[in-house]
Amino acid sequence: MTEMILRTPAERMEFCDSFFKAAGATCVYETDGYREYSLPRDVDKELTDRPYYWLWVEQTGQNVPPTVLRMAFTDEALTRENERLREEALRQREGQEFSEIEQMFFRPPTAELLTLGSFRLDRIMSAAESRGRFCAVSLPAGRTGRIVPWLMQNVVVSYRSDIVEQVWHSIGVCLENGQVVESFFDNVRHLPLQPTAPTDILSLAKLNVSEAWDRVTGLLQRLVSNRPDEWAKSAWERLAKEERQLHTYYMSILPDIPPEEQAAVEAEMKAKICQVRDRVAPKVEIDMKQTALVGLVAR
Amino acid sequence: MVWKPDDARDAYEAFLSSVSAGHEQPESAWSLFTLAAAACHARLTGDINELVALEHVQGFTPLPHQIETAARVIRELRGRAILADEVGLGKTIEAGLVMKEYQLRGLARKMLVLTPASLVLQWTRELNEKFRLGAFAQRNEWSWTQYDVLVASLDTAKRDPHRSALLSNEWDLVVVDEAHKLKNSRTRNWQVVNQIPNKYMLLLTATPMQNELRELHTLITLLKPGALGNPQDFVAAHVESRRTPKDPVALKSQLKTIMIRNRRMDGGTNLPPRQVSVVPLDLTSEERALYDGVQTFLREEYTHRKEARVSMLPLITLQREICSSPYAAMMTLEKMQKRAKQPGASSAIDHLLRLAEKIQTYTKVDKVIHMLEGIDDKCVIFTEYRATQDFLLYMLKKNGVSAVPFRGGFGRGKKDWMKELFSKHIQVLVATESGGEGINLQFCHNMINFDLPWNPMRLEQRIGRIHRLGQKHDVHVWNLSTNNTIESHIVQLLQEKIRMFELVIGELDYIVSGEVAGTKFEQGILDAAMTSLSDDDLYQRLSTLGDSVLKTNRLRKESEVWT
Repeated sequence: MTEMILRTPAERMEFCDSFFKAAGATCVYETDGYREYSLPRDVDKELTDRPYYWLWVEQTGQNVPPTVLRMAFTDEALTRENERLREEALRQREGQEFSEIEQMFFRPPTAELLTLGSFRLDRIMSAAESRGRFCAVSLPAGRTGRIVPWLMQNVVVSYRSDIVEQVWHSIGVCLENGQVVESFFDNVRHLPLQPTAPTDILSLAKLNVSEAWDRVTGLLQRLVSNRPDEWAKSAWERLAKEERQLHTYYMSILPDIPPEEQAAVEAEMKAKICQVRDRVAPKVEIDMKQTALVGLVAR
Repeated sequence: MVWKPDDARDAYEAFLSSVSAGHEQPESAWSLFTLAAAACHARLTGDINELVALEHVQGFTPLPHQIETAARVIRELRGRAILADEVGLGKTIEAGLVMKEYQLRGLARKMLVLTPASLVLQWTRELNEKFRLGAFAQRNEWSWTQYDVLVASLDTAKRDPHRSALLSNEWDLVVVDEAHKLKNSRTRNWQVVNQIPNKYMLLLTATPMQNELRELHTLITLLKPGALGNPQDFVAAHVESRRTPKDPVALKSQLKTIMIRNRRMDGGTNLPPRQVSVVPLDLTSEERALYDGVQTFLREEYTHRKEARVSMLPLITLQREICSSPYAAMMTLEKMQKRAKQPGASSAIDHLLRLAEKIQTYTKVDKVIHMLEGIDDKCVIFTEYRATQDFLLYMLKKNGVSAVPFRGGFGRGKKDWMKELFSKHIQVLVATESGGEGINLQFCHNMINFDLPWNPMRLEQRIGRIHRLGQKHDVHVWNLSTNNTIESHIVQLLQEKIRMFELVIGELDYIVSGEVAGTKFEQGILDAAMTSLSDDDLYQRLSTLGDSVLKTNRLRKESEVWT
């Protein structure tokens, strides 16, 4: 997976469609670039923050209708559907009596625009990440052959100083022969894998999960240390320079500071040196994003 | 190397045993797994040479110089910088881009914007609408801890209990708007900012140096203490005199690592041209009688006050008001009459008020109405005075021209409403100076200055309301100028002597910036007007005043180190 994704409205809509389908939400209305989904409670709770509402609903045993998310993926769809929602709402009000206050506070429902960085899409992505963190899957029954167990780890490595660069790795370890493969996810992502009991996948395993895990971390360590490290060297240099400047600066102003304030100024210097270290010192962070047991069929 | 999360292995094993114990995975487990991979992938920050934030902004397209600036702040200046663009080039946008970029890259979570109190809500709104940063306006002493992205006023921040609450938090990114308020390291403003624990810091100001080179050093000390040595080293190495550097080239190259300044004249901003013209007017005899009467009164009062060493401020006001409209002057005259101690003054004012009542036709107003017919398009009319504003609105209405007022006293909601009305339905917006700050009216391209401020910087700010980024048409500005009054001299001074409309493109910030210089300039004008013996003498003296301003400006220009 190297291409940029979710960069176009069509990709984002496809992503949301797949997510809501996988999460068990029902699509109640769809047009070009626009979807309405009725949400099960667990999904609703993940996508909108309203703990007190749910506390009230659950404590009082209310039977509330499910929330409907109205999502537009293009500006054009947003304008079009808002117009439609408004007209529908006005039509529903026809023939009913409303007080002046009610008239004043009448607001037709509106759709929300889902773009990169919008609150809702961000929530949906987070929900997908947490729901799809772990799994144990294999090819459906009917495919003949031995099931070969693999452990797959999807990892984000961040090379971090005052700037950060991230690299995504997918590493597979064969639990039968210990082979370690990079870009594993690309090879399996289009397979129709089904949830399977771990014991069924692991029946032929010679390595256990923990041993395979060690091989993943071993490979990651090698990948990181084989990577060019100019970025880290230059970060150390910048750090040394800034620390030196800070130190020289404070030492040069210290003689002019009244003795009773000197301790405070020294403390200020120490705090600033800590801040600089915190910001510039290079570090590598390895984030184990996803883990899966995958049962493949030997050819 | 840091491994995250530290319980990943245990968590997965726990997952496997719970599945084995009969806790079913959902049917869609694999689909969710691939979606999670996609989501994670989409959130990767990618190449450091790319601004991820650009794909996340909403409702506008950042301009090339803004993108360039944000990218340089992150890549080269490593997140600690003075953003010193000229007014109207979008420092807010640049800061927003940097904030968003750090947020997306996970380098900053807790971010603080310190601004003048009047801009807190505007900043909050812009950060949320354009960058969706999830910003909150600071409300109480808990806000500092409660919110990740906070906008607060610097004046609040420096007072306890806010100060200690602010300082007890670690901030990833601190942005200070109008950072020239930090030019003195002995002030509480500077000290509180210096103490904020921070990783990245942006200082925004159009005038990084107002009076002295040393001010620049003070700002830099907030960002990188010692980068230009201690104050003595800096003076020894760089300062020739207060305003001139020893070696501009050397200083300039050092500043490059800490400051970015975009200027209009550098191009890339492509504002359409502005056309400024003077509209000369002749007063009717009644108006002339009042004007002359007021002049005589002013001269007498001036000598009197000078001897008694009393404030000249009411006189400056009256002199300017009489140029604006008789109506505005009448209000002040009435006030002066109530306070007048000598009977002579009181009866003199009485006489003036009677002269004012005799006026039947108002030359300026008639001219404006006539001009509006010719313009036949949206137009902003600026005046300095509330009284003139009310009077003008009344007269416009009487003549069937649709107009709305705009002034500083309006709340945010009312300001928005007036702007909205003006953009959609109304032909004329009559604004006072104080209302003008911070509104953007790019959709309009005509402006009439009903009266002129005596300070070129303020005139530039007026014009900046319509002549700014986003303006697509040529901008027309008309300055009304009444012949044979001090106003015509002012117009000449502003327009010709200082040649502001050529200079404007870039250097006006330095002509008369800062409160002190501005007030001195106004005092100078009054002094010349009150004590000159003839019209020619007045002209000469205003010329000299203009020259001296120009001279200071030239000095500063020579010391310009950030071209």
